[in-house]
Amino acid sequence: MSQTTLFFASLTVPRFALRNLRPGLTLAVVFLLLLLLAAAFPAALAGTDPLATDAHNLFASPSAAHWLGTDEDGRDVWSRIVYAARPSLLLGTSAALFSALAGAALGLAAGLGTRFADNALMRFADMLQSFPEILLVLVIISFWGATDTTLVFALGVAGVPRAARQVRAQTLGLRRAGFVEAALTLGLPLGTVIQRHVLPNAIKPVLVLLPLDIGWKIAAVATLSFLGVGAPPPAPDWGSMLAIDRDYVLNAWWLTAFSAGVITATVLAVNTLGRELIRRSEGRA
Amino acid sequence: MSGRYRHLFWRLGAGALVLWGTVTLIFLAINLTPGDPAITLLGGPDALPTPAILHQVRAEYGFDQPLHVQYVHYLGRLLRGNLGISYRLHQPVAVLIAGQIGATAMLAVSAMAVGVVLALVVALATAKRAPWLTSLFAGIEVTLSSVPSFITGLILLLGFSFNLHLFPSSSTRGWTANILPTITLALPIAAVLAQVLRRELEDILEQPFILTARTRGLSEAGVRLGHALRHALVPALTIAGIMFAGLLSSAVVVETVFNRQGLGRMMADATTNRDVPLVLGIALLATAINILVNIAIDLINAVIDPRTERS
Amino acid sequence: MRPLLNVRDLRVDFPGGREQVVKGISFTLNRGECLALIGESGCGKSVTLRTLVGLPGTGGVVRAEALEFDGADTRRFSTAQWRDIRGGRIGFVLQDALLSLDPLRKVGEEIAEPLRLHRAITRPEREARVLQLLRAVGVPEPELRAAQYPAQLSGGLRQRALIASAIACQPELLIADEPTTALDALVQMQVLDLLASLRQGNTAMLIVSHDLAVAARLADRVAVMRAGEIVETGPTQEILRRPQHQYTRELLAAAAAVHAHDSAPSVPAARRSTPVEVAAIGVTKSFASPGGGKRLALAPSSVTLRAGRTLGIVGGSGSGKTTLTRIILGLEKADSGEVQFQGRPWLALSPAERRAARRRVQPVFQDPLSSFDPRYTVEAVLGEALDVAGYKHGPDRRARALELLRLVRLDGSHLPRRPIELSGGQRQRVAIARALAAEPAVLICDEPVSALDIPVQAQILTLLAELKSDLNLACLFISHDLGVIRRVSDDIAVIKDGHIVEMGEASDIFRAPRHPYTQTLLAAIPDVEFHTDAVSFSMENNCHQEAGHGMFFVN
Repeated sequence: MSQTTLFFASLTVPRFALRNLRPGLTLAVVFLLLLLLAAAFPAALAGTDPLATDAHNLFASPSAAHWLGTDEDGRDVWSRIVYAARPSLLLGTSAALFSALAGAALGLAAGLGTRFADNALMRFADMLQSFPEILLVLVIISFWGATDTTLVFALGVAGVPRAARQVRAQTLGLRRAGFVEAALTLGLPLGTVIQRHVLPNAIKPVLVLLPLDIGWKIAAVATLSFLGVGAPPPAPDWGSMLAIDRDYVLNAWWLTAFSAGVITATVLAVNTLGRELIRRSEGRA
Repeated sequence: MSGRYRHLFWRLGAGALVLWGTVTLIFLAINLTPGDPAITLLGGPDALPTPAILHQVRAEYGFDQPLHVQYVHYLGRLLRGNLGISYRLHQPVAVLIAGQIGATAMLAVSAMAVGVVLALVVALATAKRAPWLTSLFAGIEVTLSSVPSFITGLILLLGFSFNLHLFPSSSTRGWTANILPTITLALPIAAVLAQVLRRELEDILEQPFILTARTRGLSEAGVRLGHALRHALVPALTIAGIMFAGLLSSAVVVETVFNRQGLGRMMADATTNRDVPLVLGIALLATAINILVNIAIDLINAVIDPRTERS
Repeated sequence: MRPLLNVRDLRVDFPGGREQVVKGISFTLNRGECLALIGESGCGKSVTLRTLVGLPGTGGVVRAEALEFDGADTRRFSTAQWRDIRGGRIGFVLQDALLSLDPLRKVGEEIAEPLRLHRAITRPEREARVLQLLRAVGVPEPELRAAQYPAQLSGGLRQRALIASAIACQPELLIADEPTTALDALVQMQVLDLLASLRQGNTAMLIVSHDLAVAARLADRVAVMRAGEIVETGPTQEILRRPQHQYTRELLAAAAAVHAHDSAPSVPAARRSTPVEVAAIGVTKSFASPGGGKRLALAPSSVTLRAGRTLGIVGGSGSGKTTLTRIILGLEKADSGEVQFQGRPWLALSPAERRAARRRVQPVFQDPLSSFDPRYTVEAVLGEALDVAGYKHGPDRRARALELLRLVRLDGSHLPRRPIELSGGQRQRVAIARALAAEPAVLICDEPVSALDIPVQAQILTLLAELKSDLNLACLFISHDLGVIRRVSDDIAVIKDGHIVEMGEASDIFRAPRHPYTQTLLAAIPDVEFHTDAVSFSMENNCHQEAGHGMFFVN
């Protein structure tokens, strides 16, 4: 799952709403609302301090006191999961917005500019795109470290070529679109026509794919943490909660199951919402 | 014919240009990062490089020389296949890569093959059939393509390996050890490809020329295999080619989960250790392979659909 | 002798989507006979045809009292039985060969497919037969064409190839769904000739069209279809001379209107010497050719547009007529020559003046849907033009919008709707309303009716003629169909391969065309005379010769 899959994401959505997806959509929305709540007011959902260790209570299985059990340092798993929501969502959303905005700007410039500008910008996009995405992120991190800023930048940059290509393709098509020409024949200045007709229609694919991209970025953040390259411990983080020793996986299943579950659920929920958005936008186009 | 060769040279040239641009970008990144470039190469100030190693790096890269001279030497080294030295593992990067590339390459290629074939079969069989069938498969595919690959890997590992003891959980020996990692890599590809293919097929199967084929007496299977498949191949191959890059990325994760030796694992470790030359070496290689694969896909597409050549 | 096709009370519905599409129609077809099903888009004729070969469409439910092919009850056919008949005993020709032939397969392969399915012959025999078929349908250089892809053939050749694939196994019945729509007028004639010649082999034919001229040329009998029902049926000459049903009369009137015989447009034109609104003087344009080099799209050409008069420009695809209009509209820059608006060259005006003046030259395009921003409602579309014309806010603006809609015979209920929800004819009216909203002096119409059904064409043409007269507009009207041009034009320019080969007043040109190309075009018009309650129909067509180059006639 990657930026390139996002590029073709609208091709994956079946045209007709499947009845099955109705309950799925409601579930997705409910889950996402819960997640937003966890991100905004974690203390409201999780009573315990996620950083509080308890040497007497290592690897406790789920109980009334600790709903999802405790981890290798005795910390409450439930509260760690809840508190990890905010950084995951923030990182994912910021990176996705970075991709969208930077990519749209690039794509518009390429589509509206001269052939030389178009070529130059697209070669630059090619360079970025030739790098396998996670590798690009890893390269940037190995240079500049894994702070929040570099993570957002690295993940965001990985998505710029895709967004740029989509916007550029739309822009090029729109330059010759009938309604753009009709607006020109009305005597409207070029700038107005671009702003009123080209821009909103050109960035449509990027806007439509934004939720899906957020989903992917959240998954990527988790993957990076899993690899040990993300936010440093002991901060609560979904991915790093999964990167524990293999032996523990068998004996303390709750450590992996819940964090894996919440990552999967988040990505699924965001994706479901995103696909619904795509389906709606196509109905209108 | 000459048109086709001209096209090929053009694409190779463009690919070389992109590679050169990437290399230059890296060069600029190393030299323009605030601070001593030697320290950057060694992984930043947190890596605490020793004076002896710093001296070695400076000697090798010649940081005291003017920028353009460094650049020329840098390009020259790359063209000779010298990707630098890993200061953590004390070996030339090229040697390290050569040692691990086989395992990863085999994994990538088999995963791609499995993914594409699986997607084709599923899409051809389920396009435009009963709605419940489409819903079922679409649901499976959405899930598979959403779940991060390390989670899929973990689940497969836990399920088949630890619990059912069907497949060995680690080591690269024997072909059975390759099954789970290959499946983990192949599933997301197959999932996305199947979705795209199915939707493309559904569009294609609505086209007038399909109706014409039916009015000639062609059976449903004949219509799908003889006419629709060719049309669906172009987007399928294009996407597969683009996803190849993602394969290399996912290999990093899968090799870590399954504890396999390979380029991906090496990349992950190198990043954690801030072993910059090794990270860059692998990334460059991956980029070059990626470019080549995409050119190959373009050429195959031009053969299948002559219309793409003219545009 | 039992009939080849026996249909009684055929009903087809699509429970999921639309309601009953075919509501109980009955007809028979004997061997060697040709029956034409005539009706507008959406009347169910295409669904009927497809049901006859067992392919009504996804979710279609077919019921009939009788549905027999050569005595066999097709309601109970298995897939295998259908596969046997399709292609083998029934040949099917769909509209628009560009879409109906597999673009990724060579023409020869497409024609060979039915042979492969139904005849046990070897490959070399198949290939020989393909060449034979191509020759039979009049495709020159068959070896070359068989190895090409559909996109490499011209529209006419493609349609012939499609017909070749349908007759490959010498079927007893040939079904054709709008076989000539989407083709230039000249080519339409040629394809109709081809179909007529096929009748000599005692092949029965079932043709569907929205154009009565097609029926008149080919059919023994006509069935008129409307909203899923057959309203009238009978021998062709009877239907044409003495139509019984009101709807049939309407169709005849529309056909007569569009393929007009009398050379004077129904609305009298302004005098010849009215002021010149727009003049193009010596404009040329070349485009870069894909293989390198330049292609001359437009040789030095000059046209004048006068208030209250319509200049009709007629020519085939790629003749340069669209390039000329785009230059006049300012959407393309001429390589040389100049365009003058009310006597002053465009380029002499300052950019601001130019922008202010642009709205006085308004386009009406062939495909109105693409000329509307997909996010806009009708109200927004009109609003943009109203802004430019000075109606920024308030009740005046709404009143003007309603007035414009009334002018094009729409009403206020259309304002909040999106163009995509409207029919083709309604969309074109909205496009015309928008053009009028800008208060233009000149209206440029580029094939505004080619994509519409004949009856709707007639309505739009009448509307344009009335508006031109009421508002004293200068009009430029482009078409590939000289019959349509004849209906609307006061002056005519004939264009071929970028050169204007003949130009003058419409009546002069129609009475005495000088250039061979003009004569060819004229010969392609079906001759229809519409009298008060009868229509006589005769066809003249001898359009086999290609017109020459380099000749120019001014009347």
